[in-house]
Amino acid sequence: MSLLIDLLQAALLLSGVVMFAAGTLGLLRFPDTYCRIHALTKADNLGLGLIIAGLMLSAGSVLLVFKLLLIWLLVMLASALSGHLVAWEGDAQGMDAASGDLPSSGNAAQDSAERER
Amino acid sequence: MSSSAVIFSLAGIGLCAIGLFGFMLHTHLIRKLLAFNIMGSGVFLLLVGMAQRSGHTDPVPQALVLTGIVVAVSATALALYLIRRWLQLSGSTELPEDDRR
Amino acid sequence: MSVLLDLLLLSSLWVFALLTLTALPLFRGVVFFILLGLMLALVWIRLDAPDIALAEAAIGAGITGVLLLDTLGHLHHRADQESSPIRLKSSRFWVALISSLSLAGLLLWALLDTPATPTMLAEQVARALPNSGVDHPITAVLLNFRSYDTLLEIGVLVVAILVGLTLADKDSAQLSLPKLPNPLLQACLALLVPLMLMVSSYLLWAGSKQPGGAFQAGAVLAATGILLHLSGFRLTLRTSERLMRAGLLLGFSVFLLVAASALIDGQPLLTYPDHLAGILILIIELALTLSIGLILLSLFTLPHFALPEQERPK
Repeated sequence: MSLLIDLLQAALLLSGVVMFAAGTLGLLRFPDTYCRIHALTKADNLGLGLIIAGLMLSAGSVLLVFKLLLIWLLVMLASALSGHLVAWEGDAQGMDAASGDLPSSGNAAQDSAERER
Repeated sequence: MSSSAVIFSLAGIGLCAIGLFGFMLHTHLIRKLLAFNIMGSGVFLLLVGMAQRSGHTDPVPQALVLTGIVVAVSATALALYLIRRWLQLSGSTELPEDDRR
Repeated sequence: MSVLLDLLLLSSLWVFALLTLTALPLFRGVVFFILLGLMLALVWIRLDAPDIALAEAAIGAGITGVLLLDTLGHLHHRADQESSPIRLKSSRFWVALISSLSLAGLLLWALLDTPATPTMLAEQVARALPNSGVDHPITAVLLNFRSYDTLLEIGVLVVAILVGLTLADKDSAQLSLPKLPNPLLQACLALLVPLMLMVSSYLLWAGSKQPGGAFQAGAVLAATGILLHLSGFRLTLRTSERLMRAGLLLGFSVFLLVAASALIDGQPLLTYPDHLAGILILIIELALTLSIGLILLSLFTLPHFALPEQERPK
C-alpha cells in the first residue's frame, strides 16, 4: 500500500515538474507577451497543482492538507490576476497580438507598464 | 559540523566580493545601489553561516540579520529618493566625480 | 543530496548576483536582483532561519523590488543608454577586480581561521527565555535581550521617512497613476485585502512563540497598502495627513516611552520587569507593526506625489 502511494506521489511530482518545465520553455520560446502569459499561467498552475497533490499524499495531518490546498488556490488567484493585468496593460498600449513584441524584449508589457508611470 | 552553514558562508563571501566589484566598476547610481545591496546580503549570509558552523542554530545573529534587512530596505529607499532628486536636479544618473576610466 | 542542493543554491546566488550587475538593460538587472532575493529566502530556510526567510521574501525581494521598479519607471530612456562596463583596458576594471578578489581572500582567511566552536550565546538565550515574556528565541532577542537594536532600527526607518518627506515637493504634488477601472482587479482585491490583513495579524500573534513578529507583519501590511495604492486607492498623506504622521511615529514613540519608563523605577533604559515583559512586548509589537507597515508603504507612495511633471522627457 505504501509503495503504491510512494509511486503515485513520485508520478504526481514528476508530472508537476514537467508542466513547470513546459511553462518555462513557453516563456523563453513563445513569440509575444500574450502567448507567454498563456504558457506561464496555464502550465505553471497545473504544475503547482500536481506538486501540491503529490505533497498532500505525505502531509500527515488534515490541517497541513488544507494549508497546501490554500497555497494552491491563492497562487492560482494571484497568477490569474497578474496574467490578466499584464495582458490588460499590453492591450491598453495597443500591443498587437499578431505582430508580437513591444520594443524592449523580455517582460515587455510589465516593463512598459512600469515605464508608463 | 554543518555543511550547509559552511557552504553558505562561502556563498556570502562570494556575494561580498561580487558586490564590491560591481560597486567599484559601475558608474550608474542604481547599479551601485544594487551592488551595495548584494554586498549587504553577503554580509548577512556570512554572519549567520559562520555562527552556525557547529550545527546549532543561533538566534542572536539571526535576530541581527532580521534587523539588518529592515535597515537595508530603508537605506535603499533613502538612496532611491536621493538618486531621483539628483536626476531631477542634474539630469544625470551618475556622479560628476565618477568619470569613466 | 542536501549538499548538492546547497551547492546549486550557492551557484544560483552567484550567477544571479553577477547578472544583476551585468545584464542590460537595467530593468533586467533589477529583475535578477529580485530573483536573488527569492533565492536568498530559500537559503535562509536551509540555514534554519524561517524568520529571516519570511522577512527576506516580503521585505528584501518584495518591497525593495517594488521600490526599484518604481524608480526605473521614472528614469525612462536615460537608464538604457548605459554601456557594458566591462572594459579590459580601463584601470577602473582592474582596480575593482583586485579589490574584490583581495576582499574574498581576506574573508576566506577569516572563515578558516575562526574556530567553529559554538558560542555560548544560544545557550544563554535559551536559559533566559522563560523570563523574557515570549517563547520564541528570536522575538526574545529582538524585543528583550537586544531591544536596543530594534529601537534604533525603527529610528532608522523614521529618519528615512523624514528625509523622504523633506525631499517631497508638495506644491507639485500630483497623482501620477491613472486609476485603472479594471473590474477583475477590484473583485480580487475585495477578496485579497481582508486575507492579507488576516495574515498580517496572524504573523504578529504567532511571533511570540514561532517564526513571525512585528517586522514580517508590518511588511505584509505595507504590501497590502502598496497593492491598494497600485490599484488606484489613495491611502496617503494627502487624505489624512495628521493621522498618517502620527501613525509613522507611533512605533518609535511607544517603544521609546516603554524604554524610558524603566528609568522611573531606577532601572537602566529598556529593562522590563519580568512579570510585565510579555504584555509590554505585545504593546510594542502592535505599535511597531502599524508603524513599520505605514513607513514602508509611505516610502513607496511618497515619490508619487513628489516628482513634478517636467521630470518626464516628452
